[in-house]
Amino acid sequence: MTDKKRVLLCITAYNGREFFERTLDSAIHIDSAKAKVDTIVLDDCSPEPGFSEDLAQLCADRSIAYYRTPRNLGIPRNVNLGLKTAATQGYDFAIISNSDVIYPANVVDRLIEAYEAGGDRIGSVTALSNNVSIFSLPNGASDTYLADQDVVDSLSQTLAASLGDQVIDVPTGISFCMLVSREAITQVGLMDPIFGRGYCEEVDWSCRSRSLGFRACVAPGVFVYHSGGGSNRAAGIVAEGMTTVPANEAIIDLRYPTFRQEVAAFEATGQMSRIVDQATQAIIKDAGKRLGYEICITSLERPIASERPICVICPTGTPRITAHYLGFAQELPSIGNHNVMTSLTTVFGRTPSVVDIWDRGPNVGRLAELPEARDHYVYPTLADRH
Amino acid sequence: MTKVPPDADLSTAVGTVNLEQALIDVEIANARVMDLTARLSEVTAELARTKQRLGRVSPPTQSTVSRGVRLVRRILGKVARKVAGLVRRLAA
Repeated sequence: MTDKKRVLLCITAYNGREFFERTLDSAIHIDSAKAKVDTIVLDDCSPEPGFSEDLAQLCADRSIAYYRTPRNLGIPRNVNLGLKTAATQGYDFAIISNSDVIYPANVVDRLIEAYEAGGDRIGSVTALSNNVSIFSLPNGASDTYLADQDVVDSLSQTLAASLGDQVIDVPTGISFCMLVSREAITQVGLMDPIFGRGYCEEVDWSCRSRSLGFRACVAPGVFVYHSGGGSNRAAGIVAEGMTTVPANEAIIDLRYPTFRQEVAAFEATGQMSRIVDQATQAIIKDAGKRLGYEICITSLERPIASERPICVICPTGTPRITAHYLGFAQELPSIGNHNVMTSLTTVFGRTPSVVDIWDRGPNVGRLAELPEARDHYVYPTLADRH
Repeated sequence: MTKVPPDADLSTAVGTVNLEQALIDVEIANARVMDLTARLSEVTAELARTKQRLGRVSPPTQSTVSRGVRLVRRILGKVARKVAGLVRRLAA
């Protein structure tokens, strides 16, 4: 029997009353067969009156370690406390994490498995999410649909089953939820305090790690929900309407003049868009198989809200199917001249639960004859149209 | 590096790390300030030298520019007259 790895999950905090309880509940919900996980909340001297006391109590209630810095350090130096503690306390890995996240139960095992399966010299592994710069699964309504522990668990399990423990080499990790090995901490060092209150420090760290031969990777087989920018915006680190800190980007441009080109080159490989397609398709397909799916035949844009996938088909023209589920949207593979029903049954392994017919056209075909069909088609009267 | 017993309470361990790292950060910040100050002094001296050199090369005055314009106009007038004479001869 092999020894379990030791992982220190470091959650950095700066205010954020609205999401912290959820994040801590999610942290104690982590279930790992591969590692012994210790969690610590690093409160960067949150200024909101009473917040730190409440946070300390929330942590105590959940047996989570808590540390409040005597002065505000800024994100890079606060993260460094976690990294350095992990290194000095003999942890195999540190996971540095924002506080506005929901972890799936399998997050630690999936990140470690990706690290182990990825081969030599991996310095960091970043999880996939709904809101992590270029490593995001696009989602039109993530706060509405994804901010839920069961949903995050389910999505992460689906991605684990479909994308496995593969890793993609990327120009930089993102420290919203990033696993770092002790070897990398020891050799690369800590985040540079030059980045002040924060942003871009992990880009600098990743570039330094890569120059020492370490790889920065993303593990698409694990999904962590990230609200994004919550605490930073509240703290005024990121201005309203901005997604980054221009002064810190200027430091990156100065130190690593080719970094932006590397990111553009990575995007041009299409690796990430292939992963996004695969992941989104897997999520929709899996949900359709488990929960059933609906068909909506319409030529107009209609609000799409359902607990199970909805396949939108335009009644005329080439029969393209766009599937929607929990804010994800994905065009299903070309169905050519095949019967729509045959194609969907092949994808989901079952017939639809509901067929809503809002508009007429040749693509409706035999769908209208199904017992699940609900014909809503009424030609609008003059009064309806005005 | 400060030794913290491996089984020490995590919060205590972080406190120790924080103190040590704060001292290191101050050292790094000091070294950076000294380095940047040296560079700033060097660049300021370079800027002064460049300004001095630039001052020695006097820019063209308004009268120099006007003389140049008049000269060009005179040359263009001569060329135009020659072309007109040539055209007249060809027409005859």
